[in-house]
Amino acid sequence: MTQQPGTKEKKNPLEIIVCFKHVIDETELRIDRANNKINFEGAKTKISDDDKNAIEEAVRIKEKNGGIITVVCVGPADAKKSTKEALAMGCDRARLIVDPSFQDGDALSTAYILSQVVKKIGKFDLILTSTGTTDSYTGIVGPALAEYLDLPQLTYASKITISGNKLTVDRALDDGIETVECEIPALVTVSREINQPRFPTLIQIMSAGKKELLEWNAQTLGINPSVVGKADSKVEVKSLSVPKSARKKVIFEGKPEDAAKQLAEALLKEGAVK
Amino acid sequence: MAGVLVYSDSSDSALELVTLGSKLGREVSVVVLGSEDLSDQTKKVSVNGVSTVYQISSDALSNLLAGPTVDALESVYSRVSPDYMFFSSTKKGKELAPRLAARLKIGCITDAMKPELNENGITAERLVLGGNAIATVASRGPAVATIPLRAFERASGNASPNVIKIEDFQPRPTRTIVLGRKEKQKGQVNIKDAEIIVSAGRGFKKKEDLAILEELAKVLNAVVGASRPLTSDLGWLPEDRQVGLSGTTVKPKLYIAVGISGQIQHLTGMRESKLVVAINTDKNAPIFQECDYGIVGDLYAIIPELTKDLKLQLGR
Ligand SMILES: Cc1cc2nc3c(=O)[nH]c(=O)nc-3n(C[C@H](O)[C@H](O)[C@H](O)COP(=O)(O)OP(=O)(O)OC[C@H]3O[C@@H](n4cnc5c(N)ncnc54)[C@H](O)[C@@H]3O)c2cc1C
Ligand SMILES: Nc1ncnc2c1ncn2[C@@H]1O[C@H](COP(=O)(O)O)[C@@H](O)[C@H]1O
Repeated sequence: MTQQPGTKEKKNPLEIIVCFKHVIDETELRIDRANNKINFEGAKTKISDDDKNAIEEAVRIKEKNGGIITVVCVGPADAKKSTKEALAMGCDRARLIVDPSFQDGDALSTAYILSQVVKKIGKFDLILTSTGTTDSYTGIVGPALAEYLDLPQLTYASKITISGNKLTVDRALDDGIETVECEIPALVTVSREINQPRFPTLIQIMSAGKKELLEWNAQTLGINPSVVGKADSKVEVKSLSVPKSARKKVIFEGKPEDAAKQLAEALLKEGAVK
Repeated sequence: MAGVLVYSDSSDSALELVTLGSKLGREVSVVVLGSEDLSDQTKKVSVNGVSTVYQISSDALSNLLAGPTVDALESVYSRVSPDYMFFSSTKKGKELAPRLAARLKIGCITDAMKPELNENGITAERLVLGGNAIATVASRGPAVATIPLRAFERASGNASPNVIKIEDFQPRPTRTIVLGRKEKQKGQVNIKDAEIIVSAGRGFKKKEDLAILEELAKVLNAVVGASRPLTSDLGWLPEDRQVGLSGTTVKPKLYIAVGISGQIQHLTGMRESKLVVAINTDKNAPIFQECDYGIVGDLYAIIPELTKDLKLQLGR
């Protein structure tokens, strides 16, 4: 349940929920251009890049204002590894949401599941997500989660300040920075430039194992499998392909003056320069 | 009416969405929102292909914050019942579309490239996995989609669509207020609409060396763009010159990448260029897989030669 704005007792610790996605490391994928295939076998996984910024920001807010951070991930069972990393970065407890019926859902379905997770967690003041994941970069989950929970959404945050019940956010928009304010609870999506995520120390990594990590599923959350995942998705991925390059790839080597001359001639012939 | 509804925070981009709607063979309605008189905006979008313009003017819409804007779009949507709604893939568009879709319980596709209609939904392509792959996605039934800027020409012509003022708009109570706004410092150049771009990468050793590229740009009437290290990390050029995933997507007739390796995040921003030229010392640099013409060599030797040749040939 969300709290009503203005009813929060100041002495209560700030309750922060931060959401991250466990994704395939796209920088290590093997791309088979000849066969138009992406080889996922043995692909490494990680916390989605910008979600680390969201986690880092949650930790910084806690360091400044005090509070408790719950980190949430809807993902496969092996997301446990990433969840522990988030705990090592400074989150206090984790909820890992794994259920076969949640697989292959669209982003709106993920947002719905997260809304049910948040309701089960109960009390919160601030939800943090990033602006988009490195795998799908839909940017849908943050605003959709805010809608499902009827929260104000403060998107593209490059700076977050909390003072009492007041939340102030600098938003990095296309044409400049907009400073907005609202009362908590609220949902904030962070921009990558907001901070530089930390690397946990060995001690932090070791103590992360002792922090509370609960696994929840559809049943724990009381979610009917037919309203989530692939069963209910309104957008489906039909196929994946490798971007094709249809470029000419005419390469000049040799002496700079010769190569430059050949290029200049080619550009004139193409009518690319006038 | 089973047509399409379009909304953008900029009238120019709305015109691109009108072109898309017409191309899909649908009746197009445009939403204009604001807190003042909307006749200027309405006039701008009164172009061929638009059947109706819906206006909502309300104090709540003065800053076009997500909350009241989604409320306003919802009220137009429920009145019009379109099959599809299109937004521009601006930051504002991309925060509105998902929230509206969640409220309406319909599908949402962001950054939809090559959008098409099938029997029961939208099909589109999206770049995923950091630009390494293209996903073909399809909605089941009605959906909202955000469309990358400049994917379509702007619709034009003077037309007289129906103008419907929605007077009974009731936004929910305001929860977010704007305290201030700082406009981005704009360089005097605009890489978005440039016909020729010469871009500098980490192959340049120091800021002063960019002068040789400026010289080439002058001869070509080109503007100078850059890869991310030169803008965000080194600050040699303003951020609005950055081409790529986290910068600007450009679509010039000629793109010359100088000392740029061609990492996927950069390629994503210039892939739609008509002709691509690369100059790089490393013949295995990925940019050579994505160019029409390339020179393997030292930019410090090549750029002055190229400038000299082109100057001569073009008589400048
Ligand atoms: C989430 C994310 C978003 C990003 N967004 C962007 C973005 O929007 N735009 C962007 O550009 N990058 C972006 N990046 C960074 C991107 O991954 C690369 O790091 C960047 O594009 C590399 O820039 P570069 O090619 O100039 O530098 P490098 O990769 O260092 O390449 C320099 C090249 O110069 C060549 N060179 C060296 N000396 C010479 C010489 N004398 N003459 C000729 N060639 C020479 C080298 O062979 C090399 O190929 C992003 C990264 C991430 C993770
Ligand atoms: N499966 C997930 N579990 C938890 N959080 C998620 C998940 N998917 C997306 N998010 C959050 O929502 C943000 C936007 O995701 P997306 O809409 O997929 O680009 C991510 O950066 C995360 O913060």
